Amino acid sequence: MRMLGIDTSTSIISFGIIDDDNIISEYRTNTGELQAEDLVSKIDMTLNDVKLKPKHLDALAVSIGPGSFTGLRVGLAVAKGFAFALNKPLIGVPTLDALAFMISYPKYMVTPIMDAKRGNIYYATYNGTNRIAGYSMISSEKLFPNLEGDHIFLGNAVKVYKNLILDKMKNRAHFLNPNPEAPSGSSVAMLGLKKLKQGKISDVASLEPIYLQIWKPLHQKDG
Amino acid sequence: MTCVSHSEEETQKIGKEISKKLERGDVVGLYGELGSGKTVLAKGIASGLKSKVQVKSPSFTIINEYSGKYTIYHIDLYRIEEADDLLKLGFDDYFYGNGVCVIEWAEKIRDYLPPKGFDVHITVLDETTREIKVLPRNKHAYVRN
Repeated sequence: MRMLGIDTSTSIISFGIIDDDNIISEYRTNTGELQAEDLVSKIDMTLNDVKLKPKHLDALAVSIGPGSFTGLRVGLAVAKGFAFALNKPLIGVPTLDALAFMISYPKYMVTPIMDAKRGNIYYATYNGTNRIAGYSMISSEKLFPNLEGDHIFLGNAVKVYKNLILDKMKNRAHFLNPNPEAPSGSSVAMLGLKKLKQGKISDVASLEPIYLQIWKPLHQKDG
Repeated sequence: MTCVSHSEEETQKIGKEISKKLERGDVVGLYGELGSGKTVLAKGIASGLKSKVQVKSPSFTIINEYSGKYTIYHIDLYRIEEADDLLKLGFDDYFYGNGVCVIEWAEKIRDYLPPKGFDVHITVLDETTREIKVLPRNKHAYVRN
């Protein structure tokens, strides 16, 4: 089955076109600027490159957060637009699931961490394919001292908190080279395909991002 | 730094001076009553950052984006009622992004402003004279709850 998977949960724009286990094409840019507005034209360009038309896609998958609100909304709007216009199934994939899906290492737990700003982290912990904690937003100071066992960390909070992680977890913390800051579009597509085969199709009209934010000021002025 | 401006042109020049101190990721909060010259100061900052686009008040659009040395996000919170509304819109992407934010009516979201940047207080002394006070925000020693 041909699927298009999209991730715009961070400043990275990524999408992938897969055919079952094969990645036909993958696009990824990270200029650090908000640039999701280019998404449709880039998808169009990439489909052209591999001599496909949108109608050749069997289904769409999209990363639904947590992450950048604007990014998630653009990704969802684009994916919904394709699914609605093509009348093809849409599968919402939690961003942390798609990140964890990229690694399979039975000895260690996998903990994707994403920067929620203001000292906070979005995270989940996976043991094999089972999610055993999260999706949650937690302060960085609370998360790392409380994790037991060995963890592989990935996601865009790694570069922000690597020193803190190593300080609290020492040799129980493991990283990848290079660190995947966000899931690849292909990972979103492949996890989406897996869900599709299980019949877990999202409702195009009601699918929403996972925001996980708590609205309160976390900074307080000293004195 | 505190200075006194006697005209729009002088206020723009002060904006240009402020722009020289700005780094990627800085957030400048502008404070001052209606007509005190916040947008004029924002114009000065934008021109100092080599933006060639005409700077207009974002009171209606809430945010305008200009390209320059850094991408400039010119934000006006006049129409925003609660800080929560702004955060739900996804403004963290701008506050913690790669550009520079210039925020009019910053008092509305004081507790949410990122620690990196400057606070600029404009006080109306008389019809044409303004006192402009520039304070680096990181000096305030923000702490996390």
